[in-house]
Amino acid sequence: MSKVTWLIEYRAGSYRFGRPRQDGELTDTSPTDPTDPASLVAAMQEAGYSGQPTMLAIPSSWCVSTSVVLASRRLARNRQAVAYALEERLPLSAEDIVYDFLAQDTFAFGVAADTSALLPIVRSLEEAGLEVATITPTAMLLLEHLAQRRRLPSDGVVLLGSGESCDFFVLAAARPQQWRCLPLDREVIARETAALLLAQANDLVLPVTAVNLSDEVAASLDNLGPEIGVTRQACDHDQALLAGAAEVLCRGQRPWIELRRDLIGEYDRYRLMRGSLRLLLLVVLITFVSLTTVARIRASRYQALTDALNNQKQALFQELFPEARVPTGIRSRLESERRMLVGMSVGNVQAPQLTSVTLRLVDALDALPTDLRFRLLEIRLEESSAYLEGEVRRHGDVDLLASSLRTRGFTVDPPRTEQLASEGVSFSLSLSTLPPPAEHE
Amino acid sequence: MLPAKYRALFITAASLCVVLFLLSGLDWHWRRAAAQLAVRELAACQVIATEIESLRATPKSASLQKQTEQQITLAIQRAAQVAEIPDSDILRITPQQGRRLGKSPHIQQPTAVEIRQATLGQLARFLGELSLVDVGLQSTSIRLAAPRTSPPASETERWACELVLTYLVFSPE
Repeated sequence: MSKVTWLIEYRAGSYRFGRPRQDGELTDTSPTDPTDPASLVAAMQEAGYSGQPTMLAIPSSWCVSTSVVLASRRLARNRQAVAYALEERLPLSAEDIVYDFLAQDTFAFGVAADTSALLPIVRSLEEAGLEVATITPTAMLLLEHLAQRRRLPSDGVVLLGSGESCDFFVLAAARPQQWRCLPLDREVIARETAALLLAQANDLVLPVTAVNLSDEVAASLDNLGPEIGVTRQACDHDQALLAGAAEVLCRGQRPWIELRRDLIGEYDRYRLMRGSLRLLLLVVLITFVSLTTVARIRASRYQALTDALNNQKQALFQELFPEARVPTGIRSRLESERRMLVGMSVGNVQAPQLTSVTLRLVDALDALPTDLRFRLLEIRLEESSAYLEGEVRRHGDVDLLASSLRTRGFTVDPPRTEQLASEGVSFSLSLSTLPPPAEHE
Repeated sequence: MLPAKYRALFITAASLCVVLFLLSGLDWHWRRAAAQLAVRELAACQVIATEIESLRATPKSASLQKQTEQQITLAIQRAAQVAEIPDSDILRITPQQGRRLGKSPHIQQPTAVEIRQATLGQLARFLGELSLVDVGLQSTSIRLAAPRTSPPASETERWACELVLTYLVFSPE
């Protein structure tokens, strides 16, 4: 990873900053309260800061540490259990601290910071626009860096001199067991080392690694006796700090002690990948935008197609009904028109048909014999029946009339005749235009 | 611009993009459905239009609207004129109450006509002319009565006529 990251160290009343892998030393800023990072932010932005992840290295004086031995390995890896165990040895309650620990077998070495003190500082940095990705004590970061470079013995005392203080570490199996921040005073350091020597149960030589300590301090340690083997080392504070920060920020390695958690902000292992995640999100956004554009283009094409089809429908209607106004529901109007036309059409089997009796009148008159003398007085025709009334010369003539009508398909009831007083016979014929009922034998 | 503002801007833009995408997707879906519906509608309308054109060419057995009394009277007078029946011989034209035929959408609309006297030939022309009217007036009842006295041999026999002329009105309930 070649991304730009930043390290901020608060030391001796002022902020310092630098870019791991790019800068060789940290840049000082003017002294300020840790909750007022305006000058820091201004200087960083001037140096090119634009929201990259940042490590905050805090001074040792902001931290307290202790170690506990728990009943089992499982408990030693349980944060809650370790928290309560640490609480017994810390001057603050578990709810008021942010802490992290290194577990080794049943042993847990914990480092804590007062939340009420650290939280305003982190918030002020974030509000000023800094992306605080990780928080760790400066001394722990240096110790971790030196340990990883195999510049420290796996067991013994490590003294890290830094400005006006000295960090006193006790290591076992290359992991810190104790940590105290002492004033950079040779007597104090010697006394602390002697106390540890006295507490040691064996007669082995206690290796002491003095990093960035003066000759006076080293001499005072040598004077403690042959049980102590002092090794002096010089280490560029800024370079070591930047290298340690690079391991965390650029390689994604978790620091031994991570205080960017709990109320200070959960430790986020993906925090350092934010750039990539943002890029991914940007790609997703672009994909969404592209899909949205495609959807809108397709929608507009469908709309154009719909409009064209509707225009065709309207043209079809206007062709059928040139004088009518185009209705909203063209199809329903057409269906209504079709229903009406079907209802009005002759061929509609469901529509009732009027039976004209004119043709039946013609049929009936045409059926009457021309060689027979008779006189019709009344003719009545209904839908399925007819009635003829008239006069003939003889009774038998009526039968001739009836049989003539039957030959044309009329059903004729038996005629009624009556002899007239003067001359001739009156008759009445009832006809039916329906076919005669079938005879049952 | 500060990262916090970037973040807010990004979240806003992302939310906007997602909302726009969803809206566009829905819009696409609706417009596609509308286009498919329009295709089906047009096809159905074309079928119906073809049927309408076909039905228009077929003869009508019913009127779409009820004719006014004036229209019926006018049609009868024209038919009488064609059949050379004098207006004075048209004694009565009495429109009667329409009657719906069962549960069909058709109403039978009868009109009673009384003619003083007409020959059978005149009557046939009169009825034939009426059947050619748009509404198709059909004689559903005819009553002919012969004069009480026989006419002279040189004259054609004239009948008193009582007719019921009916037409159908298509009027769905």
